[in-house]
Amino acid sequence: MDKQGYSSPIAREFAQEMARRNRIERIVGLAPVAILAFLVIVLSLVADGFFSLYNMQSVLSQLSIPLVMSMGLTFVILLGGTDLSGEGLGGFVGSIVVLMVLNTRTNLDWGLWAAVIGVAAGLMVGTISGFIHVYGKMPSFIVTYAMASVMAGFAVLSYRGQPAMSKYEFFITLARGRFLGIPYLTWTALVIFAISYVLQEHTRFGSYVFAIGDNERVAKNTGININRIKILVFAWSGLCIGVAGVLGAIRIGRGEVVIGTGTVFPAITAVVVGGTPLTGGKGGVVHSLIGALIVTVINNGLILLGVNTYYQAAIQGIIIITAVALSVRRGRKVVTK
Amino acid sequence: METHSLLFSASKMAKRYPGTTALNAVELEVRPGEIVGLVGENGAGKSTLLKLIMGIEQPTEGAMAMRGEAYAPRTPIEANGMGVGMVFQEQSLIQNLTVGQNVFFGLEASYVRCGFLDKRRMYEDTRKILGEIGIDYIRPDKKVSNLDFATRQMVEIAKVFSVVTRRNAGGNLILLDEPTSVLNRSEVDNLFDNMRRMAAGGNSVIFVSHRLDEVLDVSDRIYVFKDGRNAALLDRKDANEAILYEKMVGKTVSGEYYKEDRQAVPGDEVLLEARNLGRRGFFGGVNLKLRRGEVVGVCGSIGSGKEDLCAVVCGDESYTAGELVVKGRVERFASPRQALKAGVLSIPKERREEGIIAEAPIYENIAMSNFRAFRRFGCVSARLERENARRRVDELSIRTPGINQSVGFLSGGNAQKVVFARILSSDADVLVLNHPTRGVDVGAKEEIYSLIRDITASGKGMILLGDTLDECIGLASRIIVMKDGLVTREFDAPAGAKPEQLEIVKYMV
Amino acid sequence: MRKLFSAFLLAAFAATMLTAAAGEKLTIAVSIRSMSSEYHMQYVAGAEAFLKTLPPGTAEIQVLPCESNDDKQINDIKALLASRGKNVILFVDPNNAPNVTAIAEACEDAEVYWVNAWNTPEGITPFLYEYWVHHQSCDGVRQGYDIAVNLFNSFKTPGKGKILVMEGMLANTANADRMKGLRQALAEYPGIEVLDDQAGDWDTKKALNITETWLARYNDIDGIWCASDGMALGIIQALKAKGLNGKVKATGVDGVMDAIDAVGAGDLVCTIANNGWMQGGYGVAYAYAAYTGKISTKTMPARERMFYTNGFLVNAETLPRYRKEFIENVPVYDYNNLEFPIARAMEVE
Repeated sequence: MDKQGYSSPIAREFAQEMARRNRIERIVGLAPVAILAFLVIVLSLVADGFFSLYNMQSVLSQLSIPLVMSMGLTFVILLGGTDLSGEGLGGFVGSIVVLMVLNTRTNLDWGLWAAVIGVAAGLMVGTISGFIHVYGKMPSFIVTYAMASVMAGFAVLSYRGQPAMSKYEFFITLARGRFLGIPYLTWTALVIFAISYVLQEHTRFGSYVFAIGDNERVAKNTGININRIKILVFAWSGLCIGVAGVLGAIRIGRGEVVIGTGTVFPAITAVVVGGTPLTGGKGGVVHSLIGALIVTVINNGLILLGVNTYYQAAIQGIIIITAVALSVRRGRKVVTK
Repeated sequence: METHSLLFSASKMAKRYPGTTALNAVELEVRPGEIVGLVGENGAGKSTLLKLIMGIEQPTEGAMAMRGEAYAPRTPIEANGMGVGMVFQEQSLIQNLTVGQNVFFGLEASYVRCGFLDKRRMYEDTRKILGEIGIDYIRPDKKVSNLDFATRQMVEIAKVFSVVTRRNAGGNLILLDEPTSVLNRSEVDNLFDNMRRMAAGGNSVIFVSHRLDEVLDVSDRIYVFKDGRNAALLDRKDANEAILYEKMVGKTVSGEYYKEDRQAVPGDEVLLEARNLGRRGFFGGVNLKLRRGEVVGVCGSIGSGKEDLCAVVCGDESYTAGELVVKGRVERFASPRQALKAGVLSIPKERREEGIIAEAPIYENIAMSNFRAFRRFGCVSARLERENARRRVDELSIRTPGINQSVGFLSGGNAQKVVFARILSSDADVLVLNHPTRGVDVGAKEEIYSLIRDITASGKGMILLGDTLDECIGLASRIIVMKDGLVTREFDAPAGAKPEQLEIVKYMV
Repeated sequence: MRKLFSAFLLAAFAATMLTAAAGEKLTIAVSIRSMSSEYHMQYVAGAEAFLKTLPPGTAEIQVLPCESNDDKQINDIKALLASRGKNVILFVDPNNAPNVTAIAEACEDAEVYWVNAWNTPEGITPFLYEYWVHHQSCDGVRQGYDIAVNLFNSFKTPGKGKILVMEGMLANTANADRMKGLRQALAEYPGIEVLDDQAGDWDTKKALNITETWLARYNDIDGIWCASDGMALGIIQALKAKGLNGKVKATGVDGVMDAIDAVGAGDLVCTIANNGWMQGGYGVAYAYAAYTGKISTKTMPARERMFYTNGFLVNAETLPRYRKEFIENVPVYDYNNLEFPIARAMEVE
């Protein structure tokens, strides 16, 4: 027995090794904040117009949709799953919402109720995806990918190839207005963030999501209804996609399927870059907020620097691969779900 | 002794699996406020008994009682509800929740107000529970991932303690399965203080450990298991390490059983050599030479590092110190595939998961480690595969309707023989066998021993992790003993002059 | 709209039944992506306008919507050819370029005259076939050039100013053509400076994000050359948010209704409406002429077999005329003048 009371040098090594891993984990956990700070400082120095009030506002309004999408996705990814339905579902919700407010195609004028119905549609579709995933025992990426196609089809059908323009005054106010210098859309996204944070930290639901992602067997042995939690997670993700769809419709003022296209990848990037690994179990919505800021700031900065869009796509791809690689670095035996 | 003065009793407990008996007519009694030690070799039946008590598995025979009432849990949750909880070897804490969230995991209902968790109140109660077992220095709002290993162990115990004491303040039963393997001395002392405190509160503890000194230190009475049966029951005052060893190992089975007469005499050529080999935090300083025709047995308890050594040799893990030399070349395997290329083939312990492909037919399983030998014109020839498989099935007398049968349908013994057919069909010279007879019935065991002799006689070398110490001694021509990640002793074990089990066990524990 | 479809389907169905009995009637088939696409329905309206010039009762129109499905398009055409034999002429807007080969082979075997619009695989031309009368497409280079010139001339000092360029997808032919036109215009207008060039991938949202960011960096922009109406609508949203709509000039291409309204509102300098009526009407007119023997694919000049058509440039000046001719009425053409739709011959590489 040595000084510290370990029965053998190997046991001491083991304890040291564990401590070292813990330290590294903590440093890696802080990396996203450091990266964000670094990006902001560098871009302020080299990119014309980056550090201006107007640009900060446009970053914030561009943040709104990826942030809302990533709030739902965070919970799904914490479970170790994926939700790809945003591509089609967001487009569907955006399309029908514009058709239900005062618009150029239909005679409806339901005002804010249209937004409520849109979000409810997102929630419903998310719940259905969850059911199929859980009881059909199908991988979530397949179910949600299929759901994306189905909903994209319904979206096109809803406006029959001729998208409607919104004439709803309140939407126009929302799209352009600000409170305390922050766009209304961003406030909406921040409200979703706050709700997500409460869900994660102050409800049983949040704890169980972490537990299932970390160790499903333990959660099961404790008597938790895992299926119910999983379905709730996909329902929440659907709701967030619904909100993102409504925000998209408000932002572009037009109800078409492109509201959803290209929104899922940035949101997944935001979640993973923020520090929630695709295998789930750790991370959370605060991480995703940082991740969403990083993704938005990078896109904004690259345009300001005049970098070609195709390099931008490549850069985004490299970022997500690096983030994923960092998060699985030590796990040679990584489980993918 | 009157029945009602017992907290827990188990009588005539038996657990049989197809072909093997893990537990047979076992008796166990636990009095209120008592710490009961449970010792035995690997495979003596300790873990099986704990599983039955926790309701993870159901007994084949026997009955249990808790506080004098019949007790037959079907799930761990049921067991918890009746005041029985277990701290598992691998921790079950959720890393990214706080200490408090973990202690009350699954039991949050009473802290929910309008759908929200009242964390403050939950943490207050957590502090109380932590206080009860004397670890209130741990902050309830700290994330488990930020705690060191020993502290996590304490939280785990607190969690189990809180689960079982919900219904009754005293009179509960807590099972601890090897809780000390990663703790240092002061942490172990702290754990023991907690166990004694729990016992003083009228709760009882069953303590399983391979460290006899610790068992002697903390237990009131000690049960010794051997081969799935009760071997002895001792009061602490009557026990010492020597007595426990003796009871644990018992008599050695005849050499004939292990085909000792056919034990090959090792050749001169060194197939595999470990020079000061180590994996940081798992084992270190291992020196080992494996010659042609030799079986090197590695003995040690759980956590001794023998499994990790095995994993490094067969390419599952990498080493961090020393070097591994295979046929004169320094090797650093990145995968079992690379190891196989260099001539090291491993047969994993979890045969069903890792050793065979249950859905694939016998002939493909046999060819798997050496497709190159069955190639014709660049493609794997099913005809060559089948020819070989037919020959091997005859040679090894594998009982199967045909070589197209999926291996998943074979019995344990026959499935293991398919694995050996695969070894025979490969051109690997070094074999790493991890518990080759686990879950295999007695008849098939003998056939497998005979196969092992055949294989070594053909000039291959073998590293063996025996299912029992006895098996290891019987089959090996040399034995290395590991403890706490280090080699404590090396024994020669030529035919007819085998070392005694007792002698070896001394270096294991 | 929906009523129109059902009436149309019913009419088509009834007509098929009738002709099946009569046997001699000519079927004018129009194979399009979807009946829900306004632009594609312009083809049909054009074909109907042509039908009116024929003696009553001699021909009828059948629409084959493929709903963006390659196989459905080919199968529907093959089924039609099988049931109607040689009494068919066909106008096709292929769902994807590779479909053209299969359709050309089928028509060649059935000895049915047909014309093709927009897409064809490289090297696959009407010159390889006897029954493929012509291939026509809109002139993307011309479109890119025309909107550029309109944009440059809308500046305070015409022909002088700073612009931003919003491309579509880089790998896309239509985008490449429109960009080529822009470059031609830039060569002619040395006073125009291009500040930046980004790809908006035909995506409204993306164009909106890019424009927002542009507006943070550049504060003296005169105009944004934009390669499609969809993206232009995103640009307008960004400009409106900063109160710059109408001040920073913008363009589009395609003639989407909302973009035409934006021209009317002064938010967009111009867009180019692809003239589906002309494309569809003259397309079937060519096929009919070949069917009746008025023209022969063996003797036709090459320019009539592969040509570009002109779109309708909609700007503040031409908007009233566009509304009158194309929105309130269906345009009328002289289908005897087969030269009319040809803007220029297509080069064959």
